[in-house]
Amino acid sequence: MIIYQPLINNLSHFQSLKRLIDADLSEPYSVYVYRYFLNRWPELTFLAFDSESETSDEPIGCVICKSELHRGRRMRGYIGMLAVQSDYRGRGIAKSLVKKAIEKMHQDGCDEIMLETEVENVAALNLYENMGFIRMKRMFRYYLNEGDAFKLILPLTQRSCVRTTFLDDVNGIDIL
Amino acid sequence: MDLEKEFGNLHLSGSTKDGLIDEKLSDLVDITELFFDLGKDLSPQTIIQDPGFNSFEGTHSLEVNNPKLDSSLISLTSEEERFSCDVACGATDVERLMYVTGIVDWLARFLVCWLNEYQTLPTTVLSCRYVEFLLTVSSEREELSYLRTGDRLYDQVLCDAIYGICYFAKFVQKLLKAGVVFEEEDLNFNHMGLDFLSYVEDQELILTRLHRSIDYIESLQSPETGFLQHLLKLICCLVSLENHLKVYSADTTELDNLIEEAIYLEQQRSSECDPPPGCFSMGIQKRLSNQFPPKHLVVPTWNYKGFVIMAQDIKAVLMVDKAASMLEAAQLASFFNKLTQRHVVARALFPLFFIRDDERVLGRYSGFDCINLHLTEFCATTTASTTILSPEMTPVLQEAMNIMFEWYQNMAQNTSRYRQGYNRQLLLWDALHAQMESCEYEIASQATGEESITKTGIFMPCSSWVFFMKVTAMIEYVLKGFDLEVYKPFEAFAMFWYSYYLSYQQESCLEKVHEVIESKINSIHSLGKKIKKQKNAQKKTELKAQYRHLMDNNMESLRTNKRYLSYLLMHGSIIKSLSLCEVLQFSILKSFGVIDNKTSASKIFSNDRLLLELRLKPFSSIGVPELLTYEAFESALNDLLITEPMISSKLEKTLDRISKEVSNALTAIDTIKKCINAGDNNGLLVTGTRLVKEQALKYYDQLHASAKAIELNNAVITAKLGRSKSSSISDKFTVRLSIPNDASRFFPLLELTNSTKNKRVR
Amino acid sequence: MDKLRLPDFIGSTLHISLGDKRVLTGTLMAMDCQLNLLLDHVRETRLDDGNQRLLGLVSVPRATISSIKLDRDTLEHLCRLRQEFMRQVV
Repeated sequence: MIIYQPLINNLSHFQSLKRLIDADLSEPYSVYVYRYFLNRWPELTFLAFDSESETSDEPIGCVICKSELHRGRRMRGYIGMLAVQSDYRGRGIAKSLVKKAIEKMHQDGCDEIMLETEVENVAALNLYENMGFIRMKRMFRYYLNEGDAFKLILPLTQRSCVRTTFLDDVNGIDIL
Repeated sequence: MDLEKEFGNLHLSGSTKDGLIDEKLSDLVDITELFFDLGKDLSPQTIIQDPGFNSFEGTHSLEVNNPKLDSSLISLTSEEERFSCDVACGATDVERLMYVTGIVDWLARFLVCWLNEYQTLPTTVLSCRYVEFLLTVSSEREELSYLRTGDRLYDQVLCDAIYGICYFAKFVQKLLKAGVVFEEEDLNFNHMGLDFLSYVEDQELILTRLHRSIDYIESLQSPETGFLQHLLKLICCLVSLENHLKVYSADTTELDNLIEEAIYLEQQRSSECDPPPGCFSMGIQKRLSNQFPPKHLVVPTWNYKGFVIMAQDIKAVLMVDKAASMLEAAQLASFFNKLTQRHVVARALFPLFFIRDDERVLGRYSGFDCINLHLTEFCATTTASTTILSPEMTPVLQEAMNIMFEWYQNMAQNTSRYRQGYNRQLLLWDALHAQMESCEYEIASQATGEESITKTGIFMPCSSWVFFMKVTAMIEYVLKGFDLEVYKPFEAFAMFWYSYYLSYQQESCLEKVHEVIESKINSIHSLGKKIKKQKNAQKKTELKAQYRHLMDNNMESLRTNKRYLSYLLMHGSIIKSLSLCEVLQFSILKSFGVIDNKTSASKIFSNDRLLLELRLKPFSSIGVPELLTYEAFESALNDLLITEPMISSKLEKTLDRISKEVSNALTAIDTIKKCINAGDNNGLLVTGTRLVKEQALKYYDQLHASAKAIELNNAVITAKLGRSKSSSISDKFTVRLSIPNDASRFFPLLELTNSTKNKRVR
Repeated sequence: MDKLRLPDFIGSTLHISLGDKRVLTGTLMAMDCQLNLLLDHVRETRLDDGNQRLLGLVSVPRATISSIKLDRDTLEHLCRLRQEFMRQVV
């Protein structure tokens, strides 16, 4: 059975998370990329474990996110990395991880969730678009020689739909 | 003048060129133990850092011993390690000639890799040891320095070739520094700290030396030197390209020469030589200061055609020099980069060539002239009134000019940035619209005479122009999204409906302007008639003079105006028709249950209203035209749905409507194409496409193909869905957006495909 | 020197030996719980040929570190600062 847990404060799975992501992606990440996300937003990293495996304490999948005030006006959640070990793919684990992360970010008051993904990454596009993400813009050669990328956004509140320049200060009165 | 200078042995290793100081190691205290001791019991979430440090920066760091992030780990072959620029590679004359040819050939093809194929500088031109060496040595002396191998092919010819290439690279660097295209995205200029001939002011020196090398090689009288000669000639052409910026030359001679040389070289594949082993490598990434991760070299393909593309694209840009009106300039800007994204050098050159250093357009017009012309060519009545010359208008016209300059620059951007550019521009046009209206209203309401008043109130030509520019930008932004594959099929209804609505708004505006122009023309004619009726001789003379004056000064521009407006209306009608066709086809498909304008995605986190509003976010702050609400879209679609009773005949009616709109569109396209071919002096319309005839025709051809494809789709839909609804239909089919070959990317087809029940995530 | 704490070293220039191949010199910007260091304005010196170059911002994992050295004057300065600070706290 697959168990999902947020990263706890002691960052106990830091090394295995790093291994999981490093194995999956062609993008090179230094240890300080992981420090940036995991140390600042541990509650927005979710791990998946296989309770029935011999290594049930080793995560077989993870999603790493952050959330920040965007341009001083809107709380924006960001999905940074998502990886599932190859022998565990095709079972909806990635989808569950993303769902849990978005639920948490929504709970924490995010107005929208954002991520970038390659135009050619059909699997990722299907995953996110089936959750309601839409493509807000296309970015030319975002991944250097790997090609263009789409910026995807999932609007959670009305504030996501108003241009930043016209949004009131977070602490002020909402114009809508 | 002694062109060659002595130089001593120069080692790159151990150099202190960065002003680095050697430490006296004995003054250092080993604190390793202390550190590790203090770090023993840190809690896992500890980060010790400077309070002012932005941890986000840390995400871009390199990393020691990480092969993807540590350029010091780059392993070089023994040839690469041992390579020396002091020795002429090659045991015999023939071999040396082959090697030098190979080096210059690779460098030339690397230029295409760099610029056409968006590679980086260190993995292309700078991967050459000789380039690195010569640039290093020369910059220390601030003058061109030469190899001392004892072989003239290396010491003179190779060096001259390399300096020519670097001088061209310097021009490209200048384009990048001007900030008109995007660094990294459009163009990489990671110079690794090397100075690209900043101390060489004049191309003359470079060209003279290239010519002397060409002469020298020719004097060798060997058939094997032909290829190298042509390479050097190609480089000469590259060196002179800077004239298009330096002195704004529109002379295409060197560009034609470049094309000729490139075509020749393209055909000489059999002459391909290899450079000496170790000459090109990743070594520079390991040797010089480097803030970037290691990157592998690409092997350059036989890509001399790339120079042809660059030259042709630059020529297309330079055509703007011949613009006889602002309209022609604007149409060139609109079409030159529309169907295929042009070469980065051409795209960067366009805004710099058009709006020059002194802020004059093409060196001929001031910003004020430029705006004046745009307004006049849109609606000549602006010259008849004193609107433009009023002092209150000055700041408003200044802002209009700024936005127009941005508009021109946006036209040269890459295909994705182009749409983003409109996102920002919309706010500017909208703000200007409000400003312009209040200003013009003030002035017009103080003016006397009926010239300003139309049926619907005071006519404001400048505001109409701003509104037209704004709505056109909105339509372009919406439809470009289809080109960039930004919309899912379910969003097609909203986007096409919105485009239809905007086209309708655009049409109303244009009709009003057209009407005003027409009435001005008519009033001049009726003046002529009045003359005949006038009995009083003196009054008759006065009227005749008045009539003459108006005929000589205004009639021609009014007529041109009218024909231009007719073109805009006709073009708009095509967009309007095709958008409506798409909307109607969507409504048919929805009626049969194979598509919905609501997302099929899970609604746990979001809802259809939010998705639509997010999609329309760029327009959310625009007051005019009014933003359509979620309810408005819903009700529009519901009105179009085909329901019982009499489905068959309702379906027929919709299909007929689509056919009719297609037919209207085809007629309009046909008329426009005829006028493009015939030119602006003859015929019904003024299109301003004289300088971009080929591209404009191709653009309308694409719209023609789309119209035909939509018509064909009618038949396909009917064949697949039948004429009566059945519950199984919605399971059998799904809809995807597809663009037929040679059709417009702005109007993808709603294509019915067989549904695959089990959609597994790959 | 024994009164110094890790935060005191932030902002000072460290000389890190990586095996016997090279030395990195840079400004200490951050450290994590494992003492992976983040240095800025890094200058790398290759010990075999003396080649020097600038690398910018570099992450130095603990496992790659052979030794950490600090300029004597700087060390004394840091000690003085720490003493000053403790005196003021008391």
